[in-house]
Amino acid sequence: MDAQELLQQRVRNFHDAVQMKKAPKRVPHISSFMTWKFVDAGVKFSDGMYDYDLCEKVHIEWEERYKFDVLREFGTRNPIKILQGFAAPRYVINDENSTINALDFTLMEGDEYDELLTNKRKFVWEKIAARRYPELKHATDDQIRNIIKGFQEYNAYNAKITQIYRERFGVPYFYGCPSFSPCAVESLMNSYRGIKGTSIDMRRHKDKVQELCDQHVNNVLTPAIKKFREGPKGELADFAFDSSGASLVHTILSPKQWEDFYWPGMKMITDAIVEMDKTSYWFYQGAMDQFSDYFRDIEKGHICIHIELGDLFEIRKKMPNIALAGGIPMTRLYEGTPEELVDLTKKLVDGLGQNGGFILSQDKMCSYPKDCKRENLLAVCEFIQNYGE
Amino acid sequence: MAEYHDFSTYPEGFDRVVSLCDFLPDDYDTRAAFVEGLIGFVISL
Repeated sequence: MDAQELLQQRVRNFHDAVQMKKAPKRVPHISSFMTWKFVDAGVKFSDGMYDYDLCEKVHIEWEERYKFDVLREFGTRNPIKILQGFAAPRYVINDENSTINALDFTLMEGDEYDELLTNKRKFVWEKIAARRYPELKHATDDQIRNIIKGFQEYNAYNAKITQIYRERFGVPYFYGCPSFSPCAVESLMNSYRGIKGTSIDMRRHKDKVQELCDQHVNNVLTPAIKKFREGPKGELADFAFDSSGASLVHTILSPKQWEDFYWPGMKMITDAIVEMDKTSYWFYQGAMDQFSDYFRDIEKGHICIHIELGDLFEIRKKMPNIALAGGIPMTRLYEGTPEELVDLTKKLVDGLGQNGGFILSQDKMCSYPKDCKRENLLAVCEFIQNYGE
Repeated sequence: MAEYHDFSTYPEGFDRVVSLCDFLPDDYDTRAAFVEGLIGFVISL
């Protein structure tokens, strides 16, 4: 099979898996490996993350070795090179221990919601950006140009490596339509207020948080969905999934907060995906099955959820209409044996993917040396690439 | 010697960054949307 044929088969396998009308030719396999790819290649984090040529080499060797059907990222999850020469990134690399720590910033105060609601662009510029980067108060045009150039280089690298994957390895692009963000609390938590501040605000400033969520639905999500609905119905060629999204904020939401802040936007998104006959991949960090009841009424065959935490067999019972991705515990990829992992993979495929509905992946985002052993991953890859063919 | 500016003000600092995006079409809204996307991205780094 040449690369183009392989690409078309992979696209078909992903769509069959999510649509759950028939079993795909074989269960597809997603790489959720992040910086472990550098570990596997014997490359220091700081070398790989600051050198796109080296990063490209690591990723070409990666696909030659493991032959994944699609990758979630290509070495740029921590795009620290963009800020080089201007400011320190929030990611602190320790090459000796092969770790990356993220510093937490609180860039917005709890009494500043009115300013954010009144003029978001002004607020983000003068408060959020200026607090995160005090360097902006005293910078040269060339320094700003270098940041822009760094951003363009980052985009160019991603475009180049995904093109190489597509043309040389027959690996499709991950998703076609712009990713959707259902809830304003996601960016509030991740970029402005932090976990603690956001948790407090959802109780102490509930009305303001609700106003922010409503504004997001009206000003961001509604136009995005309108544009999505103006596009063609049905599958997109060359993409593993038609659309995509991710969530972390649900891990701090109570059922009531989910109902008020999160679900209205998510329901708009899932309604549009079903109406447009698309497939959509969602990565939910941590546990999410506490909210499984909300997904039960979605028409079968459109949504795939990557489960980071929880028993997939139990979750399947709760959401029989949703395709599940994941299944291979990162802990076993390091501590287990090849035989154990092959047995586990077979159990997952046989139990969850008989009529579509399952995509194999790692449960967590593998990043550090003790997240995986090469012989275990090779055993899983070899098995899944041949089982059922 | 390099000339320093206060880029942290709005709209002055914002517009100065917009003016540096001369690789984009000469259209304020297009360039402003790019700068808004850029800053939204880099505050997470």
